[in-house]
Amino acid sequence: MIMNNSSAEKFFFESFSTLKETSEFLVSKGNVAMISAGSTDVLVHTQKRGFPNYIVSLNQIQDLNYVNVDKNEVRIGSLTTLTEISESQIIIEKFPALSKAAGQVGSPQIRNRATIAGNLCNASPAADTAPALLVYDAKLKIFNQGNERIVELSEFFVGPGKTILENGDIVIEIILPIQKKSVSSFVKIGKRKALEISIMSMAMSVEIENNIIKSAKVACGSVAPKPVLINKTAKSLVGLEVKDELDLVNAIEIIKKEVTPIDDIRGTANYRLHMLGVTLKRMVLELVRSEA
Amino acid sequence: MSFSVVGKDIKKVDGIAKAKGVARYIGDIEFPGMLYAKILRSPHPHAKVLSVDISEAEKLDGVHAIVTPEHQPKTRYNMAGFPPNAEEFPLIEDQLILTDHPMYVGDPICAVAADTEEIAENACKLIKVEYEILPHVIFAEDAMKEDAPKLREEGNVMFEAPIKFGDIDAAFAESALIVKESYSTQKVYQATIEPTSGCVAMWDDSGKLTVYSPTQMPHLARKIIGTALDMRLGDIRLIKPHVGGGFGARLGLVIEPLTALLAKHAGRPVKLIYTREEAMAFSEHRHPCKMDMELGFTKEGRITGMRFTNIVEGGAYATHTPSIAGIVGPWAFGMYKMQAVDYLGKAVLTNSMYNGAYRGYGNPQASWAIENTMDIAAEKLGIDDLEIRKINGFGDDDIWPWSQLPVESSGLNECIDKGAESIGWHEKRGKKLGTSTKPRGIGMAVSCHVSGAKPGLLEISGAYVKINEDGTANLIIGNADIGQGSTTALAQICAEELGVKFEDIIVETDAVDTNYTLFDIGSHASRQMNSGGNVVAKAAREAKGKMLEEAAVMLDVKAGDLDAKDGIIFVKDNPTKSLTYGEVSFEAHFKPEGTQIFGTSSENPEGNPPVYAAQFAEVEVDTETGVVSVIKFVAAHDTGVVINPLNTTGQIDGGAHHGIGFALTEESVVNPETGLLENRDLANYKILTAMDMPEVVSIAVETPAKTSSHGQKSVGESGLIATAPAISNAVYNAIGVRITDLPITPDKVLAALAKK
Amino acid sequence: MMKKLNFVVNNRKYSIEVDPRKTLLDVLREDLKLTGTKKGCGSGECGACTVVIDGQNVNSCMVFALDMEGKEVITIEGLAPKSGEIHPIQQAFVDHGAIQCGFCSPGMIMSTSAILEKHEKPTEEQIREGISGNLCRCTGYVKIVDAIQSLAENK
Repeated sequence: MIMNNSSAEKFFFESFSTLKETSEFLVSKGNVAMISAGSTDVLVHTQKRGFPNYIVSLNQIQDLNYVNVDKNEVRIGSLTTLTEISESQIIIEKFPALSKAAGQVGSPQIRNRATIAGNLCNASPAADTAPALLVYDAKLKIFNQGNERIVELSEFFVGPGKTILENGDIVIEIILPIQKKSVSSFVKIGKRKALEISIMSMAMSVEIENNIIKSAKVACGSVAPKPVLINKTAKSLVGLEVKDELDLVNAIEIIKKEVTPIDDIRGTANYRLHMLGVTLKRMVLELVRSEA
Repeated sequence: MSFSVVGKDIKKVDGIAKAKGVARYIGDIEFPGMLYAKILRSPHPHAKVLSVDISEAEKLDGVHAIVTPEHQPKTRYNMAGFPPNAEEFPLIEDQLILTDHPMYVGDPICAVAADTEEIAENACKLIKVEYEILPHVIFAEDAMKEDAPKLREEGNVMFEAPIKFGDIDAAFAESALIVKESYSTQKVYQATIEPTSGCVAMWDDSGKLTVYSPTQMPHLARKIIGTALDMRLGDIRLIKPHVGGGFGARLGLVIEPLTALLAKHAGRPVKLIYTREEAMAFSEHRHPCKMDMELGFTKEGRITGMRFTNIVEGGAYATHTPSIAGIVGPWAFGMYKMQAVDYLGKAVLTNSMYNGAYRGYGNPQASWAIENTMDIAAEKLGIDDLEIRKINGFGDDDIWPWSQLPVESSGLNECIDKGAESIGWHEKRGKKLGTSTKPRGIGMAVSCHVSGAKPGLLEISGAYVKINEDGTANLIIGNADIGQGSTTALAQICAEELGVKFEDIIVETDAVDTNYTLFDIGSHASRQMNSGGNVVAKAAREAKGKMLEEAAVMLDVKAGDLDAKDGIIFVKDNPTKSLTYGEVSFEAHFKPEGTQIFGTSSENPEGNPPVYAAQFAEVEVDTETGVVSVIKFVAAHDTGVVINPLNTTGQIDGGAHHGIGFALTEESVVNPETGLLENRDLANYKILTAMDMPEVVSIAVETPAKTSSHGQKSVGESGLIATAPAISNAVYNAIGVRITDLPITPDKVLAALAKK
Repeated sequence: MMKKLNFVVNNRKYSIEVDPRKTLLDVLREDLKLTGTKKGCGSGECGACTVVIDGQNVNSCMVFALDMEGKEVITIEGLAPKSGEIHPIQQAFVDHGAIQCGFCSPGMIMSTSAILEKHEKPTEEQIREGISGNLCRCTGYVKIVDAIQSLAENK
């Protein structure tokens, strides 16, 4: 059954076997074309808002599905599914927050189709993998008509559903620098354990020596118009010797001031602020204890 | 008593068809030339339609019929599917198929039948409707204010149900303790996995209508369609296909009259299937209730009396609301003995989608109020939670005030004891469980539900058993198996009473057809095992009696000397002297002046044995996040004699799932400005996944009923009822605070802990 | 514009013209008349439309039909090798009382098939996670988990 302001005559589904053709086609059609990969977000979008004139599927392009590792970085092909990411041994070992985040998106059925780049390009403030990738200093490799450029993920999101991507841009790879000394984690707060869009999510990557936090990155989802790094809070953690929760009172105060979440169908701003504090505290303590 | 088929784990008769995906549901039914329909709905919560212009829509290619309020009969009807006993509560007939005076966002104004759903949808967008917007009111409290917009001339309280007995003032004056508390329960959604609803309708050239409807009540659905369309009932044939879950959502019409109206105008079969969004936003949910309860006790813990007021938010049309307002009180005083009651239920009209039937039918609301109150009282009086419930319960010989019929048998105490043992009540209660930030607690609550609707409803069931030439038998029943397995269990009763093997009973769960089945008021009020079982047993006994008479002639003995088992009719004193069912039936058919043997029964059941249950929960409360997790859930139910163990525990398991969701995560959120449901998808309406469900232990306690065919009681609804208060009482046990407004959400827990 | 789609469903090759807006679910139900796959929401929130593609369970409502070019799809109709036969998963669901209304059953059974393909002997946790995208409103999942555990034990 098909609905919403579209007709079969005016809608085209295209797929090409090369990036170049895909990108050039996207440029030729302008903003009436939409990229689709796993299609789990695109089909929700078309149901709610109708079809664009063109859907351009990336599924005929080979070689965008991989997790490769070298000395300094792990590179993930943009069409790698969330199931593959959550089960990748390299990612479980080196980037556990990402593995956890990918493993908590939607349901097994969704994760079997949804891709890592799709989760980012959809630019939902609640995108589960985004906070994890942010604390790992992820970079995105973007292809456009034969040219490639690399951008920081922290500069990628603009607002709800909006990114810096321009016409013809295709995200082709996610690059994660290997951080040898850090420990990291991810927590998603929802009302259920599956089929959830987060009320709040948090990822953290910290270096700890003798209970002292040497460096810290914190990122959150569903507390701002886009997934965000929580830098002031992270900074407040650096240098802190953490023995118990009393040592984190100040950081909790800071995080509650650093973001201004809103009320929505999933949760209130107040509950989100409260959970930011609780989650921050629990995550720091968990990571400190894991290093002790 | 020992049975050969009753009590056995017979697999559901439609299990394989469903497992293989070949069972047909309404969405799977297709006919040549079929058209597809869409509804144009009011965007305003309250308005008058000034004009409707369908000229542009009619021009669209592929549009075959457009119906507007002008095209319908002017007879008002009530969607709710029951024949009420007029003495109990009124059936307010206030609805038309389409309206020019929309009362909620979504009220149908027009509908289109076209070659595809897409064309029908596009045609709806081309219909121009001019509205005069009228003042509206969304919530019951606001609708009851003096300056509220009046939705009916008579006022917004459409029905008041005062129930009084005894002297409440005297009862309270004698009380050592009076517990007074306010409670509220939220609007919740049945969430059938097959969206509610869909319909296929078509007319033949002689003016007869055939309707395929996934209903819980084929005969009553036909009756309401007849009222709405001004038709003779005999000219309407309703066929129920497989149904993807009921839970009350199909205890009434949804879109059957509209589909039939469109089919008449199109002259072709028409199919109308709701999307999930429509199914959520425009079908009846559970009534939210605001309740004030005062319960008096002697110092020994005996209840003296109850004062109870209850405001029921009905929505835009009456449907089930007056009966819910009337029944919540009796659910509460039907649980425990009390000398005096002063109950007042108010049914309130508002400008939102109307509420209706949902598993438990007002009992979960009543149970929420009284079982929290009992927990408060037990603590104040220093009496064990189990004990205070036992001393107030009814005995076998009591008259049950809910029905004014005998209790027959009460398994309440055994349910309490068995449930307590399974949860580890005596080892755990009163001990500090869990950690400082994650304390655990255990709690319990009891409930009492029905085995039918008598005497609130006039409840006929009907069964017809015909013995085929080879001794197999067709059981033909007009009730609706909506997945609970009632037809399988009724076929077990039939086999037991005929004295044949289960495999020799042929019965269908789909294609229940009003043309060929006896009148039955349907699958609701947990009534099939009691009322359905009664007529199936009687029809089978009649057929068996005739078989024995036929065999007696063949064997040259008296019929009274014979019995039957596993399809063999034998002389009781000399079992080797025997004939098969097939041999006897063949003779009956084909001897000179032969006849087919059959049995029929159509009647009301004799009794309505109450179904007692005790539910226990162990919970963990995260005091920093406010999250309540159920660790283990135990449900012990007095089901009477179990006909089919797997189906019985299956009903209790499923009830627990609804109940835990009701307690913790489920809430239909209504927009305060428009009345439209906000969370109209399954991402934002939170029914529990397999990862969220705790361990559930379902226990059947078999205290035989006296009036039912084999001592059975019913179990369709009772699993849900005491679940939320059991969890609430466990939360109180864990953290010492009580949430009185459902659901128990993390932010409410945190706020209550902060105030502690 | 209608577009050609070549794919394999239940070991049978299809080469059909499809409306490009259609999902795999639409094509299965409307074009191939394989109505065993159910539509419960159309937005990936209930799992009633679950099919198996390349050994993995997928919501067929969340897949463009045209993305199935060259792919192999197994639906509930293709689980048992022949008509008249019943697959052990289907039999276990019937035997354990895991089927009530039956509307979630085809999807639930296809997810079970994917679980058993992924894990030799799934734990209860793996089973619950494996069916966490399939909502059931009748059983509380109790007997569904029992049925899947019985299959794991018999492996």
